[in-house]
Amino acid sequence: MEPPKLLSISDLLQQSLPLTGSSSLTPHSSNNTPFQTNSNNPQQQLHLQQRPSASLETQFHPNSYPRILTPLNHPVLIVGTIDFHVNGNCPISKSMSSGCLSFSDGSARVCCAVLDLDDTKIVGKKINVFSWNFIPFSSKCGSFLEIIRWGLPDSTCKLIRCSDVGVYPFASSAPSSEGSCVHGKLGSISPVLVVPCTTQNRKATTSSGENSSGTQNLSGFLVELMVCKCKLVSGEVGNCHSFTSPVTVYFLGLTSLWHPILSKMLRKVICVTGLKKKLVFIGNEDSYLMFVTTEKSVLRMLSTPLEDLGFLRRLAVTGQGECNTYNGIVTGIYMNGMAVELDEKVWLLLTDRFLAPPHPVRVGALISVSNVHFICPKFSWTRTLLLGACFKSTIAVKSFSPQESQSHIRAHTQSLLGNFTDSLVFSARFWLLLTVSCFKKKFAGIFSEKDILGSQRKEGMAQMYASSFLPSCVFQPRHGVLKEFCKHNLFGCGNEPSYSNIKLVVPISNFISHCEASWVTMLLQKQHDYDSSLRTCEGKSYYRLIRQIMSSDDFGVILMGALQISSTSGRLQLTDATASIDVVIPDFSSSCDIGNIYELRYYSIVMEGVPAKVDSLVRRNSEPFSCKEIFCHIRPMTEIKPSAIFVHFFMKDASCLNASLHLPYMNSGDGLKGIQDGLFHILLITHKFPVIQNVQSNSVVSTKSSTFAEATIFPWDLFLRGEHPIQVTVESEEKRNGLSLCNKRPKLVHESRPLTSGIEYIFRVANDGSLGCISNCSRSEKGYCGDHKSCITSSPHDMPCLAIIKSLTGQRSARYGTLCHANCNRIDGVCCNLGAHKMLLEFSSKYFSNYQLLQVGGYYIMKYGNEELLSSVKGIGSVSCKSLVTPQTPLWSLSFFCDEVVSFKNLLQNHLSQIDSILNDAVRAGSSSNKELFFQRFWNQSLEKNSDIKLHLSLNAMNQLKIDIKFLEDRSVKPVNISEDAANTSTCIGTTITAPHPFSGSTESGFRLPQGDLISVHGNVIDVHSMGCDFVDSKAHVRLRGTISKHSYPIGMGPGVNATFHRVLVMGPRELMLTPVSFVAINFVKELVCPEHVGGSSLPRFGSAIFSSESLITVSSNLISEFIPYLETTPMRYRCRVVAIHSLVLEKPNCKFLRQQPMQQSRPTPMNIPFAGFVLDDGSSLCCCWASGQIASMFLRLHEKIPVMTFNNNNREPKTGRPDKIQRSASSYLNKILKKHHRITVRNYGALVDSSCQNLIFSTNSGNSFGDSDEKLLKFVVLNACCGSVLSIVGSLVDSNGFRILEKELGALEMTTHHQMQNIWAREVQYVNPQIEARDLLQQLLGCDGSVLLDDTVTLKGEKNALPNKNSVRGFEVIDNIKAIVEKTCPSTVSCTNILTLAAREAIYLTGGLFWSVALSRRDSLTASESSANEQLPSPFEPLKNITLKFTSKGLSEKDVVLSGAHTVGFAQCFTFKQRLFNFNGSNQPDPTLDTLLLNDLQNRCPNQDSSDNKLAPLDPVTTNKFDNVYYKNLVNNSGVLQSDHALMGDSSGAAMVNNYSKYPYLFSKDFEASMVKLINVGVLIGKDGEIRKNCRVIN
Amino acid sequence: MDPMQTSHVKLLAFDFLSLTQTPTSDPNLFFRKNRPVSRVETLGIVVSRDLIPDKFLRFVIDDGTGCIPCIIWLNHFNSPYFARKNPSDVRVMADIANNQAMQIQLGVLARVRGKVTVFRGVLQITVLDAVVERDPNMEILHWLDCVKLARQCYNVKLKPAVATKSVVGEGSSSSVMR
Repeated sequence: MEPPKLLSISDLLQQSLPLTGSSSLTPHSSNNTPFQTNSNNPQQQLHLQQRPSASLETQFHPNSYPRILTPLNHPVLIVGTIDFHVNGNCPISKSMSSGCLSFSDGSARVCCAVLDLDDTKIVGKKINVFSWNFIPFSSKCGSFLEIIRWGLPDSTCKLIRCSDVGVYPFASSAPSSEGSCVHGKLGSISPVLVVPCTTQNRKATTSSGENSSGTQNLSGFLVELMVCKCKLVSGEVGNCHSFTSPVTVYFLGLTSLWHPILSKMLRKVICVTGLKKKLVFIGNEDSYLMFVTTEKSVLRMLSTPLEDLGFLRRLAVTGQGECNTYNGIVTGIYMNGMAVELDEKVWLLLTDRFLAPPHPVRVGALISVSNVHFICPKFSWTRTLLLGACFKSTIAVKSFSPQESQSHIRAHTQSLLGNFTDSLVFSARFWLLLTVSCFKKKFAGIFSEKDILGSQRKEGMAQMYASSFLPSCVFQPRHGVLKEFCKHNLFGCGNEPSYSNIKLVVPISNFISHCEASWVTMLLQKQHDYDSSLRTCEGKSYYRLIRQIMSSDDFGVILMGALQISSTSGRLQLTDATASIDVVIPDFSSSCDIGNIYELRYYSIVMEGVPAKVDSLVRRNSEPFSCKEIFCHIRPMTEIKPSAIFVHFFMKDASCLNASLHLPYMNSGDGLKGIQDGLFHILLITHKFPVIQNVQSNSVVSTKSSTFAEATIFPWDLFLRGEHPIQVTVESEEKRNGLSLCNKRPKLVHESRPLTSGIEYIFRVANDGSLGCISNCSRSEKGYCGDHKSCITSSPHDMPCLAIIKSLTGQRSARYGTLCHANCNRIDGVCCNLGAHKMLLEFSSKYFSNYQLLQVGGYYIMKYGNEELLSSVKGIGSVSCKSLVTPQTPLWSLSFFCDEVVSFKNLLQNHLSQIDSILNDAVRAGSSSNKELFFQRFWNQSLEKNSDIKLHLSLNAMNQLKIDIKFLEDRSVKPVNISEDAANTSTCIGTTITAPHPFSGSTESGFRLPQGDLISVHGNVIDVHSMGCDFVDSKAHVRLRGTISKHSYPIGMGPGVNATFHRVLVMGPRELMLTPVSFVAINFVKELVCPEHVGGSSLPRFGSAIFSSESLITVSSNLISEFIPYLETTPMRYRCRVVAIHSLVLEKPNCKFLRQQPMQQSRPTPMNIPFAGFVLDDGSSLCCCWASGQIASMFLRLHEKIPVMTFNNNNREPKTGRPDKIQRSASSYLNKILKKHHRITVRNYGALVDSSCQNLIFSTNSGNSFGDSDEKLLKFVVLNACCGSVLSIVGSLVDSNGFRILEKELGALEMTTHHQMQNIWAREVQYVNPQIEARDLLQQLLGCDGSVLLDDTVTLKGEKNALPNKNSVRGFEVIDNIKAIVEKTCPSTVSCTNILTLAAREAIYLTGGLFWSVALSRRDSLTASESSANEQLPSPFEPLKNITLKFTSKGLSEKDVVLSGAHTVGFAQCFTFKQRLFNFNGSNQPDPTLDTLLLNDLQNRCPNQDSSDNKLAPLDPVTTNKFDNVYYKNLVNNSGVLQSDHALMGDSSGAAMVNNYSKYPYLFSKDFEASMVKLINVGVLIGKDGEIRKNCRVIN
Repeated sequence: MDPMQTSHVKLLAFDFLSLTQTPTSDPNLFFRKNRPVSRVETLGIVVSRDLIPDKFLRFVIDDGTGCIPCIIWLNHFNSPYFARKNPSDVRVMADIANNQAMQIQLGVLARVRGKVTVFRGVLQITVLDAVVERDPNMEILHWLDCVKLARQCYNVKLKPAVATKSVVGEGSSSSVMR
């Protein structure tokens, strides 16, 4: 072997590569070899691997795949000295708590850690390091040596070895017995800290001879030793001590250097001599009596007796802050080492700056953390275990990491955030770390790190958010290291206050990926259902879209981000630095500012997509948010994604964080404050044009794109005066006087000074000529703007009003206003056509939010001033103008209210309080149940209730307005003429037909639509195809075809939404067309998870009122014989089986969607079953059950696999014709037949009560006769349906109306109903879940009479009593006990054999095996024979052949022999295998095939003496107490204990079985179960044979 | 007619074994507390199995309260009983019977429906169909079902006059009476 080369530290430092010298783990061989120095041979100089430089860059990347440390390919040796760091501080982390020592070989000095520091003698000695890891630090210069294996050079080795006790004298003086001595077990150790010397402390040090400088700061640490109360002072080793009483030792001054060593001695018994007992004052008042080290102190380590592990008592982990020890592998270190992930599930918190992780705590290291608090935090988003480290905690590295992971060096800046963190309880600390990490990620690039984290002076955003978020109870005072160490239990640092679950802010990218993961999980769960969601349309098949709505409570996280309008899609988004997600905000109003940062705690997540096959390999554990993902921001990729994810929330639930985070508001604040005084147009929005999308356009182009809305200008203008807004609280003079608004009397105007001045203001504006459009418009000539006088004096139509302006911030103010009639062409209160002015509102892409606010049919006010006449319009009568909407000219929604004569005061008070209540109502309606999400704030509510501005008018004025309103709204659908499209659409007659809301309308038909009209349609969308056709379900189906691009659809468009289609072209009856100007507004969306329930497959066929919409789960179960009282056709649940088939119609699948037949059903299976009748039996009576579609196919068991052999002719031998492995479902066979015969009718003219007496007649409508095999198959399907298992059916009686339909249907088949049976209509059918059903049934029965079970199912009771989980090892006493209990309850009923078999079953089940049913009618035998037992029971010494013979004689097979060897639990007596250990086959040698390790172990247990014969050895040494297949693995590894077991390996077929069982645990369990059943059925006595013993040990 | 007579009455073994026959009545009719039983359903573990190919399979079902002997006839091609039937029907029925017979193995949990018959003075079930249940909970459900049915249905004395059931007739649901 090549002699190890000597390696110097400077060489390593020069290379600065992570390396391991573990390959030279051969200290024995290298010990005596003279070392070669290679300094003079540069060629050979250590092949420090020249790695490709590229890998150098990646190696420090935190997320890169873990790399194993590069091993040196030849043995090397490092020789050097381990010592304390000179000043006690590690030069790299500048702290002592990192617990590292220094290693020097003369060439250089590095930090080092030693794995087994049991020997204190290592310090100061020259050692040979055989095995090591070398880790260079990435950030700072410096490196780190992990010493795995070391030895002393031979000479010194001997010197030390002569003593059992390691003695480490502090300083060089010899150990002395002066001073006090403490001998005890090291309980806990505090981090090293530097305390300023107070008077008392200095006194302590001076007395011990320390050169006290008075001002010097002293470093030191505390150690808690558990000592024995006995008087023995010396460090005698012995087991007699019970180390229970705590004593604190203060290691002060130079002795504080011992910290690295002492921290490795946790739970070891040490002895410190040369101590002084002192009263040490900490702080001002508290004093503690403790031992303080002196110059003469000596530390001795005593060898700890192994048994004495009382310290390590295992506490049950309750997660409530108890102290304990955790061992685990570091799987991640985050946040500067403050959060350490262990074993990928547990989080160690090391937030305190004194508790920085030691250098060797790297990813991959095995560490043991002692005295940490175990906390199960109450987080809403995840469940995890936290280990909170306090000053008593210690981290010991048990094994260094083999990976190239980095050590973490914590920077020692003391920030506000750090102090803030430490002032929290552990769970809140962890939350804060996560939050900080999220904030860093979310606002990267938006805010600087300093803004987010804060500095020493200034709070950062994260801290500001956290302090506003966290409840006050999670803050706890801190007291400093010494105090908290000494009075640890008093402060209760592990205590977690009770507070409600706290939620986490997550980056949006994490959120999205989590949504995708839960989507995949949902798909997996519903996989079965989605196979049936295949639909066809016009020959093309597609999957129906599914939509899942989840609430924020399901995720338990908070979303935070800025609102913005996407530059590409024009949609509203919530965005942060990581990603953006579309949002839908029903109550989005002009007061919500784009760009501000909002926090969403309550929201819904909507995910849509087509179902996809999910490979089970794709299955991610849909964990809640894993903390690791948040810390390292991994975004796990999923292959399958939903096509759309968006978040739905209400603005009222969102809180703007700009104030609390001290951020500037993006906009000027509350938009409603910006309602200035002046003149406003009142607009009725008649149409919104869809966002024009240019897919190819880049962002530059798209900023120019704009959107339009069409509005009609109301012939009344609103004038608001704003000088004296009436605040709610202000009692203005007018209000006190009870100013009335009773009528249009202009007198009022004159009396009120401010109003008059307001009108003057109008004229000022008007005379300025700034009303561009109006000056050009037709009304300008006669408008009041031209005629000053007429406005005041001759304007009887001007109406005073009160405008109540509300805003989201809760401020409400009222202002006086006036409605002025703008049109002088008014004749007799009717607006003439000329008066209706159109206005086109243009929104540039910047102001899409304003566009999105608009709702068709709503009233808005807009300030005068921006209008320009549309040049292209040749007004035939109507005049149009165009206005660009900008923030300067915003739109506010408006509504009119009419009041009787009320006082202003009352009006104000009433309506302001009314607003509150209405707002609350709106909230409730918005977050409705049933997983419906409203998209429109005003949906289902009157527009008036939620508008920004409420205009209160007198009754008289209102009547005047109503005429105009009606006039306008009648005309509102008339299309506006815009540019090129004008030619196409202008010819259309404007008519509005709003289809009745589904389910509320009365009849079908009457849905004739005029040709070529533009209409608005409103209804439920049934389906959306890729070809662009939608279905609006509004009693009758309407098909909408569209040419508009997908982007023009609003978000969420798909099946299951309720939408309004504005301006769609009527193409024909039930055919509509979407045009480029059509606008789709979504009112609400519904969840669509289970496709069957939506497609209408379970729509009622017979009778309209059969089914109410109540949930099926609540349907109570019933017996068929109890039908009669339930005539009112309530659906009931029955558990029954099919007996026979009455009649059946099978049809080829039909592609046409719009078949008018009521039978038509969307068919998940390609086959169509329009009609089927089954005879069902539930044990009480028979009934006739009518079904169709999916339900019928379930009755027919079409999806179940059937053996293929049935249809291969002439194959009827059950033994020879074993069923083919390839089994197909009946439906696949039927489909083949249906291809030939389009429609097959099956009639049963035979008996309906007996499956074997059915007389089945098959016929087709194609006229073709059946082939022999086809008919056979059909017969098989029918008969097979009658042999099914129990089904759970929800059905209701067919009422008289339904009965007529049924008779008609049957008449067509030339059949009649069975006059003696009830007829029910099956609404739902599913397989029975026996466990749930049994539980319900049991409760039902017990509820009536608790004694019933005792009477009728004695065995059940007996079985329960027989199941105490006593270990079966104790043998027959257990059986006796059980028997005694059973006999007490029901004498002479349960046989001992039954108890035995039950006990065996339970024993195997309880130890991890399968559970099987046990037959319980066996009786006990009347005889017993010892000789036959000896003869017939196989012996462990027997050859395999004999054993097999014994088995086969009882009707068992060789497989049972192999399984009988399943000695997976239990013990064997030594005599059964001893000859294998010492005298195998008379050779005086052990069995050569036996594994040597096992052999040694067994020889120890069973020494070669007779006395050991009855000792026990485990049969399965690996998992003795577990029922598993490890026993077979042992056999494969030559570790079978018994000869007979081992013999199995010698037999070829036996060995094959053993091999299989060793590989496939389930196969073993399954076969074992079968074999056990076989075994316990050997020689069964039933009926009148045998007896029931009273005592199992004797026959009666 | 008593609905119990047409339906498959779910009886526990001890109940089944105590069915009685009146010498005067139909040999296929048995009585439990004076109510007629001709078809039964049982569920339990197969504890014995005796197959004579092309003739029959005899097996015993143990439902925890007793053992019920059962027989599946496999003599479809040589029995005069089946000779009267449509040959293609018989073939399918033979297939199904053979298939079921194959599934009835020792130790399986079997659900059996059939007619009550007597063989050498011992009650037995002539099987119409047999299903192997995979879920052991089915056994408990069956027990409870039997208890429930016995209490709510079989133990109820039926007034002889109104034993017939009515149908919801054309246009009048009030014609139904109890």
